[in-house]
Amino acid sequence: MSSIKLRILFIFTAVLSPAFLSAQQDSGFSLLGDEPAESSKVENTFKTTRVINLQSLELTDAGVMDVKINHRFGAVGLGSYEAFGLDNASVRIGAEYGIVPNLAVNIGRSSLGRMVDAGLKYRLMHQTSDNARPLSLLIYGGAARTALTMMGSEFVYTAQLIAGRKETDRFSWQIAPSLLSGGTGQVIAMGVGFREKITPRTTFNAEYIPVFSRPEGRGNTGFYNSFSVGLDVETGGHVFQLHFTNSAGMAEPQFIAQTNGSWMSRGFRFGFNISRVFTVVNPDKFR
Amino acid sequence: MKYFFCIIVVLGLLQHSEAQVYSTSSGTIKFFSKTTAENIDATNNQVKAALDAKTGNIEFAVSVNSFLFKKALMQKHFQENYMETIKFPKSTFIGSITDNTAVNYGKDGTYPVSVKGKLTMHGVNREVTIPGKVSISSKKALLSADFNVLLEEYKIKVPANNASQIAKSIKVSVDCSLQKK
Repeated sequence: MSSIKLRILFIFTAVLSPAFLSAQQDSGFSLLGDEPAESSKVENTFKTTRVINLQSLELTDAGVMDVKINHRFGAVGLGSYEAFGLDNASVRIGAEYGIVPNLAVNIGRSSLGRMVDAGLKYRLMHQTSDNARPLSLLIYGGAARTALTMMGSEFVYTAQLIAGRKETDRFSWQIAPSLLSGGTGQVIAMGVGFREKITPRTTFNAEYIPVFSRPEGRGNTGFYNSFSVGLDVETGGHVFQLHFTNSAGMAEPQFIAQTNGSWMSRGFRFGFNISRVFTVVNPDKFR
Repeated sequence: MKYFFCIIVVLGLLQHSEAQVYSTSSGTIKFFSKTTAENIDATNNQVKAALDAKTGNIEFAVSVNSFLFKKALMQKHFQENYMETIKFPKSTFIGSITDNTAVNYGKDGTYPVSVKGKLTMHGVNREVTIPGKVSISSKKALLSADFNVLLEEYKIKVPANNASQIAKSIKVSVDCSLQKK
C-alpha cells in the first residue's frame, strides 16, 4: 500500500514540479511580485488628425502645431488632354494647434470657393488599454464661409461627434455623425472610416460619408456621397496621405454636402495631404 | 508532525528572504541617443526597483509607455514603431550583485558593484553584466548605473530614413533611490 502511495507521490512531483518551475520563470520577480497589468491611454489610433477628409480620432497634442497642405487634382475622367486631372488642382492650406491637452483649434483656406474654415476639436474620452474606457469620443465644431458672393456668403456650421476604437495594433475604426447648418438649410450625414496597417509606417485608409437628409431645391441637386480610399505614409515628422476621392473640396461643408464627382462616371480624382508637426511648447508644460 | 516541520521550514525561508529588502516605485531611468543630426532623450520617473541586501538580488520593472519625451510625436513613434508597447509593455531586469559582500549595508558610503542578470526589452532576453554603484545612507540605498544598449541586439529596427537621427547605441542611465521596508 505504502509503496503505491509513494509511487503516486513521486509521479505527482515529477509531473507538477516542471510546471511549477516554469510558472516561476514566467513571473520572474521574487522581490517585486506580480502586479496587475497597468492601464494606459491608447495612442496612434490613426496616423494623423484626418482619416482622409474626415476628422479622425486623433487630436493635435498640446503645444504642437500641425501644418497641413492638401491638394486635390481634377477628375480622372477628364482624360489624357488634361493629364487625367493633373492639370487642375485645388488646394487647402491649414494649420492645427493643440491649445491644451484634449483641445485643438484649426484654421484653413481653400482655393475651391475661396473658403475659409475654422473649428475646435475636443476629446471627451480617451480609449484605455484595460478597456475601462472602450471608446475614444471627440466632438468637432466648425464654421466655414466662402468669399464667392454669388454662392451666398453665409456661414455654414459643422457639428460632429467622432466615436471609434483601435481594435488591434493594426485596425482602427470610427463613425462620425455630422450635422451641417446654415446656407440653404441642414444636412445630416454619417461618416464612417477605418484604417488597416500594412507596414509599421504605412496604413490603408477608407472613408464613406453618406448624406441622409439635405435641403430641397436647385442648389442641392447633383451631389454624391463622399467616398475616399488611400494610403498614409509616415516618415518622421511628416505624414503623407495619398488617395483617390470623389470630393474636390477639403472643408467640411464641401466634402460632406457638396461632393459633385461620381465614382461611377470617373468623377474621382487623385489627391494628397501633407502633414508636418512642429513642437512649439515643451510638453513638460502640460504634464 | 513531519508536514508541520516542513511548513515551519518553508515559512522560515520565506521570512528570511524578505528580511532586508529595499524598494521603490518612483525610480528614474533616462536614455540618450546622440547623433550629429539630432539628440533625443527621454525620462521615466516611475521605475519599480527592489534590492535584497542579504542575497544581493536586484529587480527592475519599467512601463515603457511612461518614458516622457520633449516631443509628443517622438514619444508616439517610440511606443508604436520602435518599442511596440502594445506587444511589449514592460522592460525588466532580474539579476544580482556579483560581489554583494563588498557592500556594507550597515555603513554609509558608496560601493562600486557589478550586477549580472537578464535584461528583457522589446521581447528580447539577454544576459548582461552592468557596472554600477550602491550608495548607502541611513535607510536608503541609491542605485546608479550607466550602460549602453545596442538597438540591434534587442531587435529594434530603425528604417534607413531615420538612421541618421537615431543612434545605434543608446546610453541608459539608472538612478533609483530605494527605501528599506
